[in-house]
Amino acid sequence: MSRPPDSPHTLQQAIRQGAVWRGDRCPPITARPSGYPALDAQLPGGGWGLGQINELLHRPGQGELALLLPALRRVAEEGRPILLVAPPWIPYAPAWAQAGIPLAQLVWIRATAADALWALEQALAEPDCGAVLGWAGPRLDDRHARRLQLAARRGGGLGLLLRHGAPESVASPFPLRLAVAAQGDGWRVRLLKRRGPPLSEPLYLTQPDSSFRPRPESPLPCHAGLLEFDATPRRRAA
Amino acid sequence: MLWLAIHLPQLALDIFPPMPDDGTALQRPRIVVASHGRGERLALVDALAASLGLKPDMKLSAALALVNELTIHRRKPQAEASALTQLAAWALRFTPTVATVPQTLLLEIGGCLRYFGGLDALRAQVEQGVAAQGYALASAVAPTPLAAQWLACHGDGATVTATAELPTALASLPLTVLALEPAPAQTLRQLGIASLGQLLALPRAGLGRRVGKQLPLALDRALGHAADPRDPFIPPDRFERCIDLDWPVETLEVFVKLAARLLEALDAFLSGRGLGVQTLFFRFTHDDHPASGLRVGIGRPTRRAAEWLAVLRERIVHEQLVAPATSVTLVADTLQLLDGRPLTLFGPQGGQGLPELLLARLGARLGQGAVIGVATVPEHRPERAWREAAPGTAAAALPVGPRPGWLLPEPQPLPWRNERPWHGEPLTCLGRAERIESGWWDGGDVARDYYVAQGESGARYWIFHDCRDGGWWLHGCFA
Repeated sequence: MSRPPDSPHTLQQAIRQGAVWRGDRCPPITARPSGYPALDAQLPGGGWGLGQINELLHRPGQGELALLLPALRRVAEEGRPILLVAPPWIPYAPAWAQAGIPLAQLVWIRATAADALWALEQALAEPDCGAVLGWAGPRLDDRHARRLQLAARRGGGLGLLLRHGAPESVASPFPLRLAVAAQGDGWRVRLLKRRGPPLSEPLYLTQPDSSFRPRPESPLPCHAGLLEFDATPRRRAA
Repeated sequence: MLWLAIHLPQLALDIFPPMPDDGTALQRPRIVVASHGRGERLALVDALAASLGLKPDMKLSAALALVNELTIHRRKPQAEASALTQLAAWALRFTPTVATVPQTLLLEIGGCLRYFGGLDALRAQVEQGVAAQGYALASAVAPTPLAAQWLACHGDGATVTATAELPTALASLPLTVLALEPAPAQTLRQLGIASLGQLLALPRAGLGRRVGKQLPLALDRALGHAADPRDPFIPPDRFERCIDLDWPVETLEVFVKLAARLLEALDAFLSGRGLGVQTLFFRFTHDDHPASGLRVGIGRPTRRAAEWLAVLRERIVHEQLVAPATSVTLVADTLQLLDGRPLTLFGPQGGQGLPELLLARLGARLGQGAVIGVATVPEHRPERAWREAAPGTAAAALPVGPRPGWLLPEPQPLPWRNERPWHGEPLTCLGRAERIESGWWDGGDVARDYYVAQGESGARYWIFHDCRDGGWWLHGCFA
């Protein structure tokens, strides 16, 4: 078998140009920084990948939203909308405003389970959506998952799928898969799947701000314009 | 002054939608008939019918004797007039001065030639636009409206730009372009006059005495010797267009095809005037059922047919026709000014603001209450401190303590186990309580101590202790 004399050279060139992706490093993809340097260092592209679905396995209430907030804040600062497609409960406006998300950018889409997938696909495919958050239970049809991934690629925005109760052992077609659990004041994040070498150790992240933690020391002023008839909310020791 | 005349020789036939071409059925010759005395006579025939020997003014019975497989339409003068009105409204995009005469549009284009890149470019653009809307046409350009109308009616596409050339250009036209009454036409035929050239050579005074004063005046107007003031076309303030169907529509998929045609017409109607609409109404008539309707809305006024169609497609997913429809009417009665708004839906740069079209599509399929924004309300009671709002409503943050990202629609009672509230796991209250006591004046009196509580798994909840009945309740979740 004859080989062109310059083939190793060409391969070297191809590797240098990024045409060949080697499995021991993360490929360069466009991403939006998550706001946590320790996490960004491990995520391909240095953040939540754009034009793909980022899948988060979680139990509700363990701060999964707080983990996403820095990225969502940046989306909102750019004047792009954030779509919540069929969240499990009411997105509580005072909390989201407190977290620094302008409510004008927040769109809440209420849908039944079947319509939610359709709405999610439509929203992901829209190039003008800054971020799309979807919720899916343990059962997500592989065909549907692939459709979502293709829609996200078309739209090129930030697609985040929060899944509650999905087993880690079941494969999914999404290129990034994280398991998030609360740990002390922050989270323990395990990267179950990423484009690049596998990461066996979990990451321990801490909250950069205390926006969701109780702040008993913070004053609770009663603004004159807020409610004049009410007494100042009193606090007492637990 | 330079006038472009667009003559629509097949208008009576073009207003009927062509049969859907499904490839299997043979195309049948189409004719339009009108009542004529006691019988019916052919008013117009299409090319296929003409090739089979059918001619206008033939008796219907004679036509049926020649060809037995015919698609016969009754002539609808009202629909013809409304089609002409709609075309005139569309033509306003080219020039502010548009006049209509039966079967013909007259556009004064002297002032807008430069803007559209010359006479040929403008004429091609107008002709393409009319043809795209499904009308056969013949056009002509002349310095007077009447001359342009006659030249277009004759149909050889003449272009005359100087008044001095008019007598030569008009000389060869037959008298039929004048559309004379039967009596003067008879008189002229007896005089042996067959072309406009012969007519123009006659002395006007004598001609006036023989056939009436109108004809010499028309000739003078055509040649530019007499003034020919025209009432400019003023477009109506609402849009209504109907497609009558010879075959009833049974499914909404077929309806969407018809709607596309109606929406194109709406787009054409609105774009001449810089207008848009926010709601549309489709009215269906049925043979054995009262009329039904379908209302479609969009978040922001627009006129683009493609956008309306995208919203309409989602709107009809859960809809069904109550009965096969025999006609579809599109009504848009609140027209809104689009001037001063950016014409792209998504703002000048793209990616700014809300994706209105997406939200409209989602709203059309999921229902109007399904696509919403949230806003804060200055109120201490947590369940009243937020409200649903239109997407894009801005609201300020409240000066309050920690609030959970998710609020339960209704507080959920928590059992008390081992001296602790229980939610799948024992909950520990973190920090101090936030007392919320409010609402005695409106019947929604509450007195609660709110805590942030954490379970052993690390999940954080927002729970409260009701000071009135002593119960523990779960009210939110710090996600």
